[in-house]
Amino acid sequence: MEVLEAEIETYYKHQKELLATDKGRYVLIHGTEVAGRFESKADAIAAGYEKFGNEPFLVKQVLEVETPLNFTSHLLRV
Amino acid sequence: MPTFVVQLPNLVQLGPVVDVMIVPGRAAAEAMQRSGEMLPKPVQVVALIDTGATGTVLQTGVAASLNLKPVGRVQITTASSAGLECPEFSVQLLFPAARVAVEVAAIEAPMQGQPVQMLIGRDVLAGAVLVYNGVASHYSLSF
Repeated sequence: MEVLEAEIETYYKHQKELLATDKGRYVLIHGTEVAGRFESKADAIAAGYEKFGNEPFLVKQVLEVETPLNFTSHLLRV
Repeated sequence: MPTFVVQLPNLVQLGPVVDVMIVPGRAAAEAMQRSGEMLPKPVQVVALIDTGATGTVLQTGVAASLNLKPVGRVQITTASSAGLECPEFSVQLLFPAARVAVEVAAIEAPMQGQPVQMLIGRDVLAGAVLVYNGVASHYSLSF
């Protein structure tokens, strides 16, 4: 199973409603639960650790189209 | 403004590299302490300051050494691939030369066989001033 697969599924399941109410904000997702909405990524991460401890959780910005991070050098082996 | 200057006779070959200590992010460390988990030892790496990198990258395995769990998953595009997804981890970067700690969500990706184990991307540089002096063969970074 891929990293945070359940949380990614939960995000896409709720994406439409999240875009309507929280576009641009950051959501905190744990398993199938959308556990919070935040103005900043740092706040969402802090809340994730507060609520779930040192366990995997997903913090994701609510966007229609995701812009990938870009790496121009050849240092990454992917 | 804390600043460090690195003089490198082979700056052209190495690029702007710096020793960095990596530890769990503040919230992660607090969560570990709350659960009675021992705080992991810092991981020391050589990092390249890479203005061609949107985000900060750790070599695969560093997060596991720090007992960190993922807090995100992001898409990346590289010179030779597109549409890949990498896990993201909450870490603090300690720059001993400047006595500065920077909190960042860094992705993990394979960097085996490279002279560096980390890329410092524009997410960190967004809060810094980088001066690259190729003529004098040094660079400085201020936070």
